Amino acid sequence: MLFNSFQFIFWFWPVVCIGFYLLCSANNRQGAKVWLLMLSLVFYGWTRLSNLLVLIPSILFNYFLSRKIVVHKDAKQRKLYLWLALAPNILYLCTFKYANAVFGTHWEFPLGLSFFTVTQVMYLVDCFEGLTPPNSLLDHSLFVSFFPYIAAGPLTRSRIIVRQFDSAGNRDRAADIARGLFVFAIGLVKKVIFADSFRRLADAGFLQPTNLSTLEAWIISVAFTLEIYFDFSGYSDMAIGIALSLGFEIPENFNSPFRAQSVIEFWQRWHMTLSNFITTYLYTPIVRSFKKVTLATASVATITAMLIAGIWHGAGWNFAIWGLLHGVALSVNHYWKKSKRRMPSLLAWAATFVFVNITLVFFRAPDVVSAVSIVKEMIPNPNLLSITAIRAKVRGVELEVMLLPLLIGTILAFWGKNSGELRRTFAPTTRSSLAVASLILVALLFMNSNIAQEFVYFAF
Amino acid sequence: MKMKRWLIITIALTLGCTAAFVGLNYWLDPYCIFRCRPDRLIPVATNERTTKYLFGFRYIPQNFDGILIGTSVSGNWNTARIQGYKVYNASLSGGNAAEGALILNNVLNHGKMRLAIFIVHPAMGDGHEPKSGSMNPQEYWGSLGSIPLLQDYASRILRSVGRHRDECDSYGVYDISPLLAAHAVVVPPQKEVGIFAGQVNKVAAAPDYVDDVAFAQYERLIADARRHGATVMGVIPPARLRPGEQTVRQAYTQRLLADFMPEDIVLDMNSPEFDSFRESPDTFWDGLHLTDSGADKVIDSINRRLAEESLR
Amino acid sequence: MTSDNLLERLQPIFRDVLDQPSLTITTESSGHNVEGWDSLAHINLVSAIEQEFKIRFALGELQDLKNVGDMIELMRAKIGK
Repeated sequence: MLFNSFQFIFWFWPVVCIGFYLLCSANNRQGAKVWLLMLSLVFYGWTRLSNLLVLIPSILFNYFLSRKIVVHKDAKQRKLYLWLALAPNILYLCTFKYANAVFGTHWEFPLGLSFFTVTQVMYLVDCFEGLTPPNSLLDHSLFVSFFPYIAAGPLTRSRIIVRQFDSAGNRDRAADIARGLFVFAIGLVKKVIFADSFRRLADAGFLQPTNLSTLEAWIISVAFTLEIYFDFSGYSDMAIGIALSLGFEIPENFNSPFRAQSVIEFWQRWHMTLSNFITTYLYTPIVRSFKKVTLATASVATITAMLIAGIWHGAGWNFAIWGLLHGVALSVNHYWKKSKRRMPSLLAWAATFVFVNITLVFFRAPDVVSAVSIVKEMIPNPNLLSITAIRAKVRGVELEVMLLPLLIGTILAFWGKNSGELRRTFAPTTRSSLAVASLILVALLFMNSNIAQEFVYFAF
Repeated sequence: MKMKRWLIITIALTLGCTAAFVGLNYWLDPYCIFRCRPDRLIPVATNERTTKYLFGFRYIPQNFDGILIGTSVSGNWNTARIQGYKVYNASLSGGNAAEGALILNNVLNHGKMRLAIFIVHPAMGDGHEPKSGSMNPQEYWGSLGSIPLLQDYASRILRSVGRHRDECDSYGVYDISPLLAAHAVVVPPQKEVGIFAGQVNKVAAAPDYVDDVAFAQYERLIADARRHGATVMGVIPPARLRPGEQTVRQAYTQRLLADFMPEDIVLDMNSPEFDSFRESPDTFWDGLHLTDSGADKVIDSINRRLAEESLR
Repeated sequence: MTSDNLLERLQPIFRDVLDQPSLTITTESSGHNVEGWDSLAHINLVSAIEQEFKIRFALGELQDLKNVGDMIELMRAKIGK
């Protein structure tokens, strides 16, 4: 099921909320959790029932293994069980992710597998380090399958959410639902209006990437960058809003990434839950495994961690290259900072944005060859300013509808307040009421004008 | 105000406006789906595919008993002049058999057609996928509130102040005057012999292009109409071919004709009796598409054949 | 061990790791407002603190060390044991 669908907005979401709050009011905490779990499984299995056959074994396996880990006090045995638990998770993920590439099969990738594998890896390590007691079966099942974040994050750690399950329904419900609706509306508009418009523009070029002018190559790469930003941050906003409407706080994923003035800063603002995971559970252990922590060893750790992050996204060489480029850029960034050289902030901002743009070309292009050809076209070439290739694909009525969202979206992405900031300054006024109603109405109009688009990250 | 009040107001406002908007569109019913009055004549203002598809739910079954499935080749054939039947011109510019099937099946599911006319032309085999995301059941719900719907309203409003020309009339017949106006500037018609101005489809570019799936779709198209009980008529549109294109076109046409049964009517506008018609400079405006007067001659021929057949 | 006490003992560690002899940190100091405190420096800081105070931070705790105040909180809990 998609958040941006009529069935979700008009019946699934209201039903979940009503049932949940009724059970909380009746002081049936257990029942409330079971209700959420049941509906999360319904949500997850909605588009493909067989997905449940992937999710449930993962939940059960990690539930049992986490208990095995904490039983052992001896450090060596504890570590052994940790790896005994981690390895199958990683293998499970790799099998589904890379089987198609390696064996030429065409299996559909199970929804959210990349995400709930990561959250459970974090949980297993937390159990190992004694930071959390092992979850009860109900808590663990709900933590893993909670429908707001199961599809594509934000990656939420078990101990953050499980303690909230137990105190659920004790907050100002109206405030939670109001804020949740507000954030959801922002995310919905980002997804169905802005992301969709940038997608059409990006697709116009990426589907036939040869013979693009310099201007066109830049247009489609910036369009894809903005498409994925609005798509993913919009989805994250919706997830956060829905969780909030049930009284749960899940982490933010984006913080105006295009304000970043360095690659290091970019990763503090883009897909923040993922970069936290990479830093904490990949980068730190790798760096610490070296005898001495120097810039050089840190670079090795950074590049390795980002390479893993790259292939976590997908089975193609283009993803590995994306990861590698970011790893190298981060290392270079660290050297630069160490050298205490200075760059004018405008230049720093531009360099960061250009770099992010170019690397995202590798993310979007179907293969490395076309990615390289597009990047080549981005270098000023004789065919500088023509836009005929794009005009041939996007014109007439479709273009008319897209223009305003493209314009507004571009302004918002670079200069607007982000959803986190808006949420913190939200107040229940007439103005915000009209704003939310309008946002939802326009979004519904767009939704009913097209088949609901899947999130870019759903393929992960 | 307090959060609870804000929430109630906001939700009520959203639901209320949605209901009002949907109700308004239901009441206005521009595609004649919900409150269609018989004999209400509706032109195609804009969004040809969406409109003609939605017309299949009520407008066409209620007001017509015949349908013409074709492409831009037959787009401006004035089916209002067909005698004995009220035929809707469901041609789609750049259409093919796959798209024709979407419209035809929607019509056949909602009413009775006595006559189904199909053009027998390579364009019908141009690819076996629909060329747009339109013409699907979701558009039915879109007629209750969507951007194409608003575009339709905007077009009608602009039409009433003379700033918009309808794409097709109430019989689905194209208005080609804007095309003619643009074309006259580009190439004088007299100079053209078999030039396909702006027609960059696979068929024109590679005359021996053959798509087996498309052929199967065409066969199914005809069969569906026949099974429904309609009189099936195939019209081979007049063509002004360059030397060397004759044989390929012949082969293609023969393959399509194989889908027609003895009980069907076939009209061949390429037969010798129409030679002078095809050579006349007033017949085509770009070597492929007929002028309105050329199209009228085709309709006259259709009428003659239908009259002959009814006497049998 | 009081918070002020710990803050005092952290000053030389921060000055040494971040190579800024004149640096003075407060409980509000974090990667956002202290020059040179990035992920690499963070690892070195954490290691230095672990060595100095004979404690160990778990991986999962590193994310929650948003500022010096958080660090001190966590350190007090660990040193107490």
